[in-house]
Amino acid sequence: MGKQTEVQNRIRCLRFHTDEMTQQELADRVRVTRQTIIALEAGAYLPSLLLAFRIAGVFGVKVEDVFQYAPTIDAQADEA
Amino acid sequence: MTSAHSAGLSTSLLLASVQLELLAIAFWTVFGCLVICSSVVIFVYLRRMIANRSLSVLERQARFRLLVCIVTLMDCILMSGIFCWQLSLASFCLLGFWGLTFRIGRAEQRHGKVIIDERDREINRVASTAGFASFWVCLVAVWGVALAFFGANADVKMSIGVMGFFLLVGGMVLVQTISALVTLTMYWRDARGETN
Repeated sequence: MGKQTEVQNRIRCLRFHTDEMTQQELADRVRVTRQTIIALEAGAYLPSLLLAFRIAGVFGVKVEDVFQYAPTIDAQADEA
Repeated sequence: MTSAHSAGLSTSLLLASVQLELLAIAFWTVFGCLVICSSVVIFVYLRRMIANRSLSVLERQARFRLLVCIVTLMDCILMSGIFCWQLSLASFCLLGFWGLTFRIGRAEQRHGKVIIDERDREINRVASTAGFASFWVCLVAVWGVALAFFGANADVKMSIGVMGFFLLVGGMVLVQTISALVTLTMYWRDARGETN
């Protein structure tokens, strides 16, 4: 929490393509607080698998269309 | 000679009792005023925290707990400046206001809103761990300092009441303050990109 995660997401983009859905509307539909949506969009919080599926379900897309794995240079070095 | 001596003794006893009564009156006046003023501040802040919907419930609760801690410690410092430190410990009764924390977020919960989600639970877990860990570290540090100062074989006379008070109340204040600070720091770090 706090620093940028290695998973990028398109939540903000998808919200605007879904009738300009507000953060509060999305939060209500996936049963979390608005602050969690803010942290998710900022890339400061990595959601649970369940929440990721819920968010994808709201937009009617697959999970991988919302979240993409983008390893940082440090993570790549760790893996190597 | 004896009657004069006994008259002097009774006069000094009377003076001492008057002094004690004056001290008691002064204590209750100062303490009462401080408690009333502090309660007003705490209630005003509580109302603000209940009404503020832009922050998460856990964050508002942490802010309230922190304010109660600060007010209590300020009162304690003020009282110890006026009276002795033993009497100043009475201000810790204000910590009872922590019990009102449950009121923050109750209205939203009644309206069926989610007030605590997985991220809040994670923050709460980290904050509680930090609070209890700091208590443990402080306890070990105090023990270490005492060991270094008095030596391993020293006999130290200590009041059970004072030790119990500092261990319980001091520990509670430490755990609550650290966990509230960690909670606020974690929310503050995440609160970026706030748009609609």
